[in-house]
Amino acid sequence: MIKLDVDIKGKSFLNAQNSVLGHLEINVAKGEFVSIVGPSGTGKSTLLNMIAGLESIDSGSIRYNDQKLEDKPTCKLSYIFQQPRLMPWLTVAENLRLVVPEVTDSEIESILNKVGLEGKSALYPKELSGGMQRRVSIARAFLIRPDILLLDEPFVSLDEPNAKRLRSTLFDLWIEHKTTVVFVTHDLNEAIQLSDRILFLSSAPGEIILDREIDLPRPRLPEDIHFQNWKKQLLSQYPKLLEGKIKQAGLESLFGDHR
Amino acid sequence: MMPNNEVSPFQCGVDNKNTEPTHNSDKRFMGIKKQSRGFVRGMIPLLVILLIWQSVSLFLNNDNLPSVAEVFLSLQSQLIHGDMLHHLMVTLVRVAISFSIAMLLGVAIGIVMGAFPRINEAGDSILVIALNVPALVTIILCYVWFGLVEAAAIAAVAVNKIPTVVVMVREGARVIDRDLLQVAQVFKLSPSRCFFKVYLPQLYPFIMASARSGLSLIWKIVLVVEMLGRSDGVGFQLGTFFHFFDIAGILAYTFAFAAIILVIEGFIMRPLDRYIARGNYRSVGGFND
Repeated sequence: MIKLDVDIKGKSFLNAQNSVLGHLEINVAKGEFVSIVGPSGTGKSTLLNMIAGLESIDSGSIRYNDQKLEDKPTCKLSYIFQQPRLMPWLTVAENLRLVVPEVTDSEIESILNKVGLEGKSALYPKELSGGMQRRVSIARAFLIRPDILLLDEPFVSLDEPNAKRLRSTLFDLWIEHKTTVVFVTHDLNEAIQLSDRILFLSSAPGEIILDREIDLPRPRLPEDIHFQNWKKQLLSQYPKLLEGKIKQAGLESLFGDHR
Repeated sequence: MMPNNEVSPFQCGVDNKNTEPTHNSDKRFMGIKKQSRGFVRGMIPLLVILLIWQSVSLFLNNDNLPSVAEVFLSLQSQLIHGDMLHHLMVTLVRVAISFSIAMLLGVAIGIVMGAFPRINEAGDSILVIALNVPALVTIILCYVWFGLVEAAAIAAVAVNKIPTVVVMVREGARVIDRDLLQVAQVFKLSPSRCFFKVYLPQLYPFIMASARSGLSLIWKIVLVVEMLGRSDGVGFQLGTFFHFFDIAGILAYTFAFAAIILVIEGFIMRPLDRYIARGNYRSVGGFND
């Protein structure tokens, strides 16, 4: 397991007039599950891409266990993208073997069992439903036994029963592997249900406007009264939170110290 | 005899649902049956053309248009008493070598030009010129510069084909799915694994298209090359027949080589095409989550 320290001074794209990300300082402890919630266009995916090394950092640093990202740290990183991103020309088993060539057939079957895809190893992605493809991408992510796992709204555009099942799969695998997780979502229920801590991002340029630990016992169910009360309390305290407007509306003083 | 509760998947006049093949062997049989039907349907226009040709040649009664029967007899005689097989093999070897060279170099250059915009910019004008230089010019120049040797013949053919392969592969390299490359990057795939398992498969449809069009182009160029500067091969034989106005011989050789190309297309190119398209075009078998 590793800890993650992000200290980014900002990020802008070549053709964009404004910065997509502002100053961000995020510390994720070993084995911690942190969710990042914010409205669309606040740079959540950009942030994950920067952590994964897919986007350059304009200024600042990202460290895994004090090893800088640019020094190519030795830790194992997994990323579950918004789309499953499976190779269409490879079967399910081949897609898994792509990331871990030495994996045995029994290990493949075992991880597929865990994500509810037993007996599907010989199928091509095209032969799977959207939910099944996402489960393959979850299996792929956990197969490498990651030290850190990044998730970019992996359950978006899925129907609720499917999303619920996948959340539960993800949670079980996290409990088993105790991986450090950074989970980007715009679904507050999802974030409360899964995370140890939630970071709320402001509208662009994205900055953290609230950092809140979740002290609810697990398993957390959205229909549970404590779950609803916790969420209600949070939103009544910070009514503009989901719009990412606390800072922009100049409301910090009303809400006191939100960091 | 089949048990009462079983219904043959090929039984006529039964409910449509029951006619769906349920086993792999049934599916294979259905596939072969479908292919046979396709083959028969494809043969009908050919037979019609042969029929028209035979009728017109009988009507004209002219040496310039021999009948189908005359061509067939010439083909038979060349195969049994002549050295047709030798010339066909020589041409086939030239096609195979020049095709392989053109594909290897064309794919490599196409990938580089597609992946690096600056190299593409620099090489684009050369590519346009290469595409438009007549094949005959390249052949003559190769023979003049390198002599009437085998290497010159093969080089002339390959040089003619390379630009078209480059253009097709370059287009493929331009539309590579970067999202999939990011997967390779995140999961730290080795460069060779990333190239062969993630990058190259995305180019297969483009490589396949250029290979299929290339095969048909290359054998035509090989015949010109042989006619102009070699002492064997189908092209050389066609030149000889031309000098003697042996139209039946010309047609016999043309059909023989076209038949070989059809066999290559049917037994190598199409199966390869199906293999490459395996993940993209397989029908979804109604799996639900």
